[in-house]
Amino acid sequence: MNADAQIRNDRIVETLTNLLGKDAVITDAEERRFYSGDVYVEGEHCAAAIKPKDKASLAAAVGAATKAGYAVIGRGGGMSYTRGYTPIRPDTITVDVGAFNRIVEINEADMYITVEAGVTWKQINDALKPKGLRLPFFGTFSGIRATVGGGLSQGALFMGTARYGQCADIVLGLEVVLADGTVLKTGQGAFKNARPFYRTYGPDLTGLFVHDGGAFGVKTQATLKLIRAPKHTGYASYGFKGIDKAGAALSEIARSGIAEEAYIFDPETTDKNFLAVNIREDVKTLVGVVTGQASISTGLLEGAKLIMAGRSFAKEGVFSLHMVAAGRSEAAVDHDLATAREIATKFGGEEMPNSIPKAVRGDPFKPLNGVLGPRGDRWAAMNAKVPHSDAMKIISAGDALLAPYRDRMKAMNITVSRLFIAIDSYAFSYEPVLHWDDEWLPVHKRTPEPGYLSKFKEPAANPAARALVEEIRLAFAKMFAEHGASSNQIGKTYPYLDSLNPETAKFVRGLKSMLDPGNHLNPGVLGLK
Amino acid sequence: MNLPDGAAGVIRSLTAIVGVDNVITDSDERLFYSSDVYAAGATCALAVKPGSVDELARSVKAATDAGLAVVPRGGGMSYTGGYTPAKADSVVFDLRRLDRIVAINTADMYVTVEAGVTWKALNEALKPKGLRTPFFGTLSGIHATVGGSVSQGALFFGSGHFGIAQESVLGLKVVLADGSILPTGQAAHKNAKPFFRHYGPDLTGIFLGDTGALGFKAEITLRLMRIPAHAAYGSFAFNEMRPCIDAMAEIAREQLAVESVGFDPVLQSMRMRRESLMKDVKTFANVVTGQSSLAKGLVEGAKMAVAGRGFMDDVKYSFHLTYEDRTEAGANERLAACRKIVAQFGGREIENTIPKAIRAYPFTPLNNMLGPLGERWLPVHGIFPLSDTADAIAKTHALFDGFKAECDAHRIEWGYMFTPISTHAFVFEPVFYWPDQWMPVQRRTVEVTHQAKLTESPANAAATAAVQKIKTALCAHFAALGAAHLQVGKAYHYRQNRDPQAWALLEKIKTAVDPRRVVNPESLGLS
Repeated sequence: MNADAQIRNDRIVETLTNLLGKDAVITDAEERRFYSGDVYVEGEHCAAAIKPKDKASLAAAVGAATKAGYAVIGRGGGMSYTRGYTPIRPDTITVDVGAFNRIVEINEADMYITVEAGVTWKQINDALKPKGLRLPFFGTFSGIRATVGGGLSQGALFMGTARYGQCADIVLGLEVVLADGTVLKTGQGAFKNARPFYRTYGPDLTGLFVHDGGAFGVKTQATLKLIRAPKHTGYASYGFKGIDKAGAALSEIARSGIAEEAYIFDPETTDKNFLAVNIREDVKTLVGVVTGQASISTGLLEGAKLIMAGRSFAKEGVFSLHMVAAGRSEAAVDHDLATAREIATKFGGEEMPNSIPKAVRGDPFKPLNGVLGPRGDRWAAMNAKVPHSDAMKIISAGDALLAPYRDRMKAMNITVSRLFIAIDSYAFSYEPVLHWDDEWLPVHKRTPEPGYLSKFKEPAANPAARALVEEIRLAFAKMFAEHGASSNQIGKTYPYLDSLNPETAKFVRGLKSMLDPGNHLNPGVLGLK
Repeated sequence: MNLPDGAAGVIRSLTAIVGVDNVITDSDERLFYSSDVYAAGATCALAVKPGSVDELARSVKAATDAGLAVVPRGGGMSYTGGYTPAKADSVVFDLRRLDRIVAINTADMYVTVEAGVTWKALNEALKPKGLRTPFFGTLSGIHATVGGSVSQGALFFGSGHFGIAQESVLGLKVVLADGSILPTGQAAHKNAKPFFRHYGPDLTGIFLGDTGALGFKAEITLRLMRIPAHAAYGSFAFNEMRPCIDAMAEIAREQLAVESVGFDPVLQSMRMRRESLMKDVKTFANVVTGQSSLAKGLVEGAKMAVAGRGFMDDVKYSFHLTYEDRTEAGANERLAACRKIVAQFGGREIENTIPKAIRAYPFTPLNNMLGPLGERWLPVHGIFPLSDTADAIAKTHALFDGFKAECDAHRIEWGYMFTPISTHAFVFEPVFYWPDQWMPVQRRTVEVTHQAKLTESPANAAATAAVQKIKTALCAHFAALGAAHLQVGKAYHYRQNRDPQAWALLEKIKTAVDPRRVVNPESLGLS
């Protein structure tokens, strides 16, 4: 760093320290490195990370940093793997909203919950469960750490998603700090004397800030819808001989509206998860296989169902479809499961023990040993949301994309796992995950449970494999865009802005210049530069 | 009436785009196009009826290039100034010729329609395929269009489970002030189908509920769902307002009913008055929601007629629910759970004629836009948290008590409806009735045979002025209570009560899409 830059950094650190207090301004080099990397990659190291304790000081700090010409990036649980919050320039202030961890209000009478942006999905579920309440979409696999603010910015989905969609679908209103340090409220909370119970009095401004990757503001608070937790839940798993059959069954289950979750593991993933939930020993070495981030519980083992455990689904090429049905009555759930059985049977599915979906629901928010892959590997997950009728097309295109890389991947021990998820009735998500052996980033060392890492030897730095993974990743992102796919966790990975038609791209750029005219907020995210 | 200056030139360009039959300059017609169910706006310079998205875009450009304001109009069911011009130099766009269902994609579970498709037409197209949209229409759906509903905000069919019209939308094609076409949702991306709403920031929601202030909705893509195989119905009566509202709120929290509507004693008596005009089974259904004919062979018909003669006589407050489920057991379980809640709050079950008739004939002629004897009709509503609604109703009674002298002097009556939205909101809708001459929309919408049974009052400006005075007080009262509204139009206190930052952002968005401020001026209070 040259002297001028150092002087400038010292000045902003002093300003931020005055605003926030010394303990809330982080300048230690190793800490800055941690704050500047996600689960996939390290960005430019930020000049400082700040951890404000209240909204007023956060707003003041954001305003001061942008005024001084610094980039400002909001960071939630730190579970991005698409450069969601990694800086592209060194004069960046990273805002850790971790201190915004209060549940502000659980309103049982009016069925909403207001939380600060740094509250995790696990925290919400733990608070709601004793009251018999739930969020409709209620969290990600990484929900022990992933936050509501991060989920809204990046596009969180999974638990409850086959019926209720994504995080974006359950939000009623927000509080956002804009680039100039002003605070914007959206939803009914933006009106005098009003409570934040309702989203759409007039045009919806809340949606501008969902899936924005933090480009438009730093979220400080969100109000979400509540439902009463379904009284009855049922589980089913089916094995299929090919993804075409399994995918067709997944689409039909989604269209039928019978599932709260429905997803498919590829054969290798099925093997690992099935063993993980069915064999008690060595469980923790076999987890972390669902988009690389899952940890499947051992809590709900059913001894009787171990019959299947000796099989290798990978060898047999079995894709496993898993679903959760939920409803008001046992009869209703049984009916949904019977419908699923009919659908699975029609597409040649064979019933398997339902231990995987049961285990996921039994303990949805496990420690995040899955920041590393099952062999202590690094991973990079990609996702493409397509209409059901395009599912096979994008999967085949993925296979075709990988074909020319296969030899080199084999030589470098780069492997691919795949996950397929139904979103509401109308979208099919194809999620390939690349795995490779490489040195660990700070996040990989800090996140797993104590002792977990001792099972592995940290691989040596492997820049060749890393570069090839990046090449394949970008090829996937390009191919997805060519197929008109949608992706969440856009970060600085998917060519969102470039794939928009000119009128809409112009509109998005216009919004950016209204909300952040100096392009200070998370520059580069969404392709806004 | 003469056309304003500047209209002559634009008529030529518009005629070239949409054809001579679709440019309307006749003065009676312009009066019709310039007033809604409640009031007249400034009389527009002309009205135009584009027949395609392309014609719409070109004619918007032609009009705004000529310096005229442009105002979108769908089925014309507004009563909050949704489409009445704020100034005479306006072109009203009648979008009802944009009536094509563009695509029904049963594999990918979405439907794309042009803005002028009515809910009735949409449901008729989807029903044979076993499909519908989650929110699937308003009670005015024989005329109300998809474009109008998503622009105004709309609720009823499906709203108990699936919320308001906006929540079923996946994406739009919006015509902006300069005639450019802005796609939102996945269709804004190259090579993409319009199946998904949330790739990046949501641009769709900005144009929903805007009462046409930000752009013309030309095409709308909505989610599809399979129609649940089983339905059940329940009607319940209460002697007091509070337990009635409390029970309905609890039913909403449990997500038991897919749609529901409740009536206070005044609306109940209005229904009885309507019924007294009816002579037979065939017209009984009309009592329910202004519906006309029951089909022959409807098993319930006779029963309904019998029940219709007395079952509501001693009812004060009532609500009427439809349950849906994929199984019969599930639908019945919902009904049983409601019975339990109603019993807990001291209500009783009555004949379920009303919800059954509503579902049997969801989109019938809108004879209800006049009162039972031919009075004028005006709904005003507020949306409240479930637990605030009973208080809001009580406070509204107190407000009306202050206007008792005006109401008595001008024979103004008011009652109210109430309807929960999803698990988290309650619509409370006071309805005014008063004697005055009818609006052009009412003359054209209410069936001629029905009009023959009614008496139109002579012009009664004093009564209507009194209604306006009370309505203004009611809107301020709702704003003070922190209420939300659908159909903001030019009626509600949208700007005054808003967080200044949120208002500033809306102003900037308006400027970005409509820098000359020519799209539906004054809608949302954006001038």
